[in-house]
Amino acid sequence: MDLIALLYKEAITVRRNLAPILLLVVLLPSAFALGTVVYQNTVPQDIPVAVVAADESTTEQDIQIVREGVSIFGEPREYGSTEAAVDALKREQVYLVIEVPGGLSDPNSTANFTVHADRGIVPFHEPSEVATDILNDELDQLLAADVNARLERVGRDPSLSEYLVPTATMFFVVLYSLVFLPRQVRSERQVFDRLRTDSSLEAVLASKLVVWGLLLGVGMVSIGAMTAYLGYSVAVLSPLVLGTVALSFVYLAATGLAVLFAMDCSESAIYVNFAIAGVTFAASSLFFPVGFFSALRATIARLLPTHYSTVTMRSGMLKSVDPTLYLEYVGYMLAASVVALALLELSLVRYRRAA
Amino acid sequence: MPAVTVEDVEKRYRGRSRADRLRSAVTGAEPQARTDGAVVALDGVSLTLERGEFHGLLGPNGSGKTTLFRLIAGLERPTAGTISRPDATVGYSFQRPCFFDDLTVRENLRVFRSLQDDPPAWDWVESLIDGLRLDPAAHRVAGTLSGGFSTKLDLALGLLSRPDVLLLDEPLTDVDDYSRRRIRGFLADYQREDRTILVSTHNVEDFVPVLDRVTVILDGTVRFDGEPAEDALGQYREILVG
Repeated sequence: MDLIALLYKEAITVRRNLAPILLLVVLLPSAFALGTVVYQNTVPQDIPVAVVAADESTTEQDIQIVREGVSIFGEPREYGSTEAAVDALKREQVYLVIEVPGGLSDPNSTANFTVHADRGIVPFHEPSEVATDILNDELDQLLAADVNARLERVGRDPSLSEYLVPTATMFFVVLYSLVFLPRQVRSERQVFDRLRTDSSLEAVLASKLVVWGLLLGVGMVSIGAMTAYLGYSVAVLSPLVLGTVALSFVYLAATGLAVLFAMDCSESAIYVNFAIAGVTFAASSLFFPVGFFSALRATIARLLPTHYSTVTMRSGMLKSVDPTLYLEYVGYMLAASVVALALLELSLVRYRRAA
Repeated sequence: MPAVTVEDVEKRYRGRSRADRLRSAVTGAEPQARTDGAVVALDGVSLTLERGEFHGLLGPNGSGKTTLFRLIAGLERPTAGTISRPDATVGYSFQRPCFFDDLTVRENLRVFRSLQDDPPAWDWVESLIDGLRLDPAAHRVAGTLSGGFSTKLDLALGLLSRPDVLLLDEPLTDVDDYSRRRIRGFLADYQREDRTILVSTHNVEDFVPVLDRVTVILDGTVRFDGEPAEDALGQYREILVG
């Protein structure tokens, strides 16, 4: 029977390729299932919120009372001035800024709270209104004064489609750098021995990074052309965005290549890189603000350079911001690039020694 | 001073892991024996390649010839022993074709020529194309070449830098008789006083007329090292039978 013979052949193939197949059917689906862990709540409960004194009449006690009220739906963080808090809002270090007025313990006065939210974070539009209402109710119960919390949005107001452009771009950059490029390098593995005798693997990979990095630039132009055709107001080719894409490409590609050479250029390495891409998508808060679903997710996201890439890219594309606000994030990306390149070099040394 | 000296070299691989099988699949180097869970590919191999010598490395499939080549080329490190090749540039024609599949023959030669520290004149590339009879396939994509043309392209790439030491691992595989004569003639011309050629083959008669010295290797150990007899095939068979 043909079928039995072919099934026997498939069984042998599975046995011979057990490692990549296990990665495909165990690691990958497990990684996707694991990704659900970070979605713990259906309403925002741990979003970082800035609490700042409105003027000199605000006392430390006023601030402490408001921090208590905020902790119901967010993680309060104190800032020294409204300006510093709004800068943090632009960097997505916080998603609301609450200006606390003075005289909260005076039963005859009205406490006018101003709540700032960034229009640029589209998925946070309605939650920010809900959060303001909750703040109103909670503080009204806690305070002697009448409470009046007013939501004030800052920045321009992109559509949901425009908001999704940086998210989609980040998806593309992650897959391109972490999966596609290592796969392309692996396809030339039969030439590595000759390249090692005539050149060096380092030189070969440097040429790959240059060429595929430039081609990624073409990809960015394509995204820019498509969004322009759709009439979106998105600065895809701004210096901040292009710089972010370049640095993200370097640390992601170096990581993907480090995994590839650490695993002797095996097919399994591509699956591992694919799993890393999946975890990156789930954990980096590419779409929702950090802390929107859980504090755990916020902690994980802040450990990943892809989170800083996403925030910087989103700001560069959607907001008219001063790029120097993001120097710290660019620093994280640079540090991630240096670490990833060092890991790549270590994995090349191991690859040569293992030969 | 010899071009290459191999002294008491041992090469072991850890077990028969997937990585080992992958390595064998990629390099064509078959492990020989097991001791304490390790696979011994070479065991106490010593060899001297004199300058200007055409040296044959004979042995059946899986005897350790390719492993020794990779050690001499510096692609692998010996588990024990030493390999010295003072100031010698090494060219390597691999047992399995080692070039870019998606480039043409000419493009491969152009790229690898540019990778050399001191790129040879293009005339030399043309003479390789002509001498090895690569011209009918010069503009074909390498991935579509027949076995014989693939072998000849790999040979041309090994010769590209005009190396002092040329390692040829089964350089006549799948090559037609006419091209075999061309290749042998080309290599004989190439071998000048200061150039050393080490050719590995399991087909004794391929190179016997031009060999100055022969080393027979079997199960990772050297069984004979000396001048080839007039009846080289008979000599080889006797050595193998032991």
